[in-house]
Amino acid sequence: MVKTRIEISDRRPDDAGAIRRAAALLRALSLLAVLGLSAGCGRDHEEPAVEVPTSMASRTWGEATASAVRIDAFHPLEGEPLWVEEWLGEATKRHPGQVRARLFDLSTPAGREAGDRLAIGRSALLIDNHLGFRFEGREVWFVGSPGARGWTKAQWFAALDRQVAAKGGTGDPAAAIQPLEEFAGRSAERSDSLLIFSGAGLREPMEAARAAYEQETGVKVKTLYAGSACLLAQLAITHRSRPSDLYLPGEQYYMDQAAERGFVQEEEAICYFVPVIMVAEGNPKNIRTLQDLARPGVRVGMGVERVTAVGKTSVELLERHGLRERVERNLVLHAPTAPELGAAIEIGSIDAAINWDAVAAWYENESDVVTLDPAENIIVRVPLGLLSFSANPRLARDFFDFVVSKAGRDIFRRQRYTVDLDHPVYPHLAAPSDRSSVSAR
Amino acid sequence: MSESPTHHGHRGGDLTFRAILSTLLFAYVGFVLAVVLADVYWLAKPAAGGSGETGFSRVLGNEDAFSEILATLRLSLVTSLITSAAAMVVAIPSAYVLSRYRMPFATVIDTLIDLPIVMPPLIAGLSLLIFFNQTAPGTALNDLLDVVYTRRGIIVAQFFISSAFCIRAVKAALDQVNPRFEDVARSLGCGKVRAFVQVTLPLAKTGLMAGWIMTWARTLGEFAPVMIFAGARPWPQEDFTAVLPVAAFLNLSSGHVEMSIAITVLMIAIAAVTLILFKKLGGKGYLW
Amino acid sequence: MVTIRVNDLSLALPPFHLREVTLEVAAGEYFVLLGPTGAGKTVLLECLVGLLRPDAGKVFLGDRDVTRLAPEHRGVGYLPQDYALFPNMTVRRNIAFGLKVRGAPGDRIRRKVAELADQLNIAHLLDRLPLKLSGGEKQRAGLARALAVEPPVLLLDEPLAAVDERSRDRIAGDLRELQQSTGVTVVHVSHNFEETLAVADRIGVVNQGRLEQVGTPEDIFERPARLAVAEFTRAKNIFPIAEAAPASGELARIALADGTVLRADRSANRGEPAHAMVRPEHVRLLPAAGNQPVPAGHNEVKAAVRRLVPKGALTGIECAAESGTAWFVLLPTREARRWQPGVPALLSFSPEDVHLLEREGLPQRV
Repeated sequence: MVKTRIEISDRRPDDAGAIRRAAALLRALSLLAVLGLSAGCGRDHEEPAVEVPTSMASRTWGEATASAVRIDAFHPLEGEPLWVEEWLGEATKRHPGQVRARLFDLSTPAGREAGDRLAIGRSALLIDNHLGFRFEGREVWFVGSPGARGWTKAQWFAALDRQVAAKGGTGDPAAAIQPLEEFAGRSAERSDSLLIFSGAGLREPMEAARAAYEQETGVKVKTLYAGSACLLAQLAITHRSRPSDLYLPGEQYYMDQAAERGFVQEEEAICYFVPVIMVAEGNPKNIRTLQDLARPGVRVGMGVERVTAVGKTSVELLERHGLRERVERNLVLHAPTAPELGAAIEIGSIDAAINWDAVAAWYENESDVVTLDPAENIIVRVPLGLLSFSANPRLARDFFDFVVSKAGRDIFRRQRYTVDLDHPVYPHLAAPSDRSSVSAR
Repeated sequence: MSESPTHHGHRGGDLTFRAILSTLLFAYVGFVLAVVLADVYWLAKPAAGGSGETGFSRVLGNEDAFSEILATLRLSLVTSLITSAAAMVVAIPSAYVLSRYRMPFATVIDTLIDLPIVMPPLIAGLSLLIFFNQTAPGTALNDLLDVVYTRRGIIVAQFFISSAFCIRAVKAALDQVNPRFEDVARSLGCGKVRAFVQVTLPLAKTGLMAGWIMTWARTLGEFAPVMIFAGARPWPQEDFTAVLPVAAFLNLSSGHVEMSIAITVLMIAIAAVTLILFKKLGGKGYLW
Repeated sequence: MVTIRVNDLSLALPPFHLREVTLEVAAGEYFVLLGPTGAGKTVLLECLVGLLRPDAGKVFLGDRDVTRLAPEHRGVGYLPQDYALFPNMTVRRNIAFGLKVRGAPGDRIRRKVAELADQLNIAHLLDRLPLKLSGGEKQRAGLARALAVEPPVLLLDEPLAAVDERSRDRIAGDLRELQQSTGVTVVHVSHNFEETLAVADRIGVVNQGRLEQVGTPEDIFERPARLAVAEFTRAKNIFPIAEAAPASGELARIALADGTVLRADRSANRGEPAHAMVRPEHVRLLPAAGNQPVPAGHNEVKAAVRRLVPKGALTGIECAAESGTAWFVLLPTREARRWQPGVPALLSFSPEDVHLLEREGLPQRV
């Protein structure tokens, strides 16, 4: 029979396997140590690997005493499965004073948080932290609903009876029933690692943030880069088998898409993309405004509207100024990515391009930047999303907090991204004199 | 190898005809060469600022950039060698079956082998992700091998595409070996396997080498499926997964045009050496 | 040296179909499978080698049923049509291949190679690659390779097809000599009737997957059993029979479709006659107003010379009978020169030379 353990959504045997082995070794060592220290007591050592506070439980039965068998039930109580509550009540009545039961409602945030700590995503009935018992050689895991998952109410109560008998000394425990390895919960087993999906254009600041966070905390942050759309597809396909923690697309649109699918728990703008006009060094064509892009003889480059955020925004911007048709007459380059526009200016194949300020900053040595009046501009926010299917919500939240904190934003600022709209990378000079072309630095 | 007739002399009227055709040939060859050399020229050209800094000096002079290229090259070489070896292991028996036996549904099988080649690379990558994450056999396999967003995934993605090329190339090599050789070897006492190993394999040797080199070159250049399936995690992340083409893309996306062009030039150089080897070994067919 | 027996062998391998072929080749016999291209003779040979498995029927080598046996376990010598010398090995290594596979000791291999090279006169070629050999040299090298393991049976697929015309007779003679000196049982596949006459003890004519007739070269040439065999031996003067009257005494009265009536010796025939055949070289051509009498009891047909077709030593004379049917006569060229187109003539031939062909479609059993 295939072992049906909890449907752990985290499948990372590379670290999990090693960690599990290490954890088992540690447990064995600590068990030896405790046995050695408390040799006289002869009591089973039982310290759950992960403690879940009772405050998270939606209901409790019985009193918490040292000798009480502890039942932790995880179940989404969206109305119907009252059988859980019935069973827990029955269990406390059956062994009065010897059982302490707690019910965590997985349909509430608190219950889910408790489940997260033990890495329990769906129904489970733990007895003294044992999720599974061996019944005459056959492993039975009390996961999901009885019946459907190949176990029965009778088995669960038999396991409970065995545990009560073993613990309270109220009789011989049934030899045919043995608890399986203590379920320590994934949070304790799993490595401290995060999986981040980031837009390829944000590689520099994200890599810097990653490195800084890894250094500070020792947490391994795996960061995948690709186009925002590609990342969304990857998320959609792999979020079950590869829980991921943060999503940093290049524009709001993809965050909205992700949110629509219920992927996003929380989001916050981490920086802004401010459209500017990139021109050749020294601004030989003397371009000062968007209107100048429509002048005959100016070779203009723009991002492809349907593929790039910069293209979409440029078109909106030109439309707002009623310049779209006239500028498009000068269009010589449709670039599929924003950096290609910068490269084209650098190579000299175009005279001007509407581009993000952060991207323009990469080419500062080879080009100049003409800023636009913020009042007339269309500024795009870059959101960082905390994903809802994180395998390690606390850690994910911690990294999220780090990136949006001042320290995190400073990294983006140092990488020359506009983090604060009052202090953009290229401040717009109020007087549009001949100094509206901001030279490098 | 069959000798193709070449005409050295020319009759009246031939000369003009030949001149026109050759002009077109040389114009195109010159165009290709110019495009390739333009990359090198652009990297060697001092930047406009007058600092005397060139693309080469930026890449080679920057320790990080240099380390990134080296590390990425190493990852690319290791994965592509493993992948092309694995592809050969699968391709030799498969191609043998295709070359020697009449099979039911031969057309269907042939078409299936072509699928990874004609599939848009991006879709190939997504399809791999879907298989390994959304289907029961796929997830079981992934539990076993751990390939999604890992270095092993690079090999899986490369293998998916390259094996198809490899089977085609190996089949072309085996098709050129007369099956009679094996028949005779068997009449002389060789078993099937021994006849294949002692007779057909040595005769197909150069073709197989050429097929392997071609597969390896393809593997080295594999981009979209690798990026999507293995994830683009660049150096210096631990266990980074960005191979050369992925690194070129990431550098372009973050404004490091020189880096991306430098990586491209490196890949062109490797490809050129490979192609020359391929042709020296009598490789026929296409690099698609 | 063993007999080869084939029982009711059938194999459908589109476009070829072997249909219930039964055949026995005696030990030490030189047997030729003769037939036009696509007749299925190579398929039959490959069933003997073991490269093809029949759908039904059995193959015996001696007493051993080898029908299901792989080629490597049959121990037969095989020389395919293009000889298939391993191109990456020298002639020496080609010849030694079979012995090496069998793990024979080095000195035995050397001895055997030298012996065969001597016998086949290829000692001077041993260190060459097959690419540098002529057709005849390749064939001898291929034979040496097949004979090195001393097989009891040698199977040759069109061994003379790739040899140039001039040396064919000599090489055919060599093959025959080789067979006689080694005593090996040979099955030789050929599509060329003339080349087989020089070598074959017996010939089996294969047509459309059937074994039509088995016999000595003389049998096949003079007494073809059916139309297909007759045509394959390039016979002429084959006429459909309208009615065969019962024999009066030893001779049958045969009415041809064009109205001509012939007397024929029926004793040689088994089945129901469908065609009458007279070999052109058996017809005598007599002047119409003859001072030369027609031999008593001979058939005679009135005709006129239409044209002369010189063929070197012999000349074919095409005549038109009164019914319009064309008859062919083959005369030594010197004799034929006496005839001119348009001259009336009398065709004369003995009843014994009127050969009757059986109806098609019934498998011949030997």
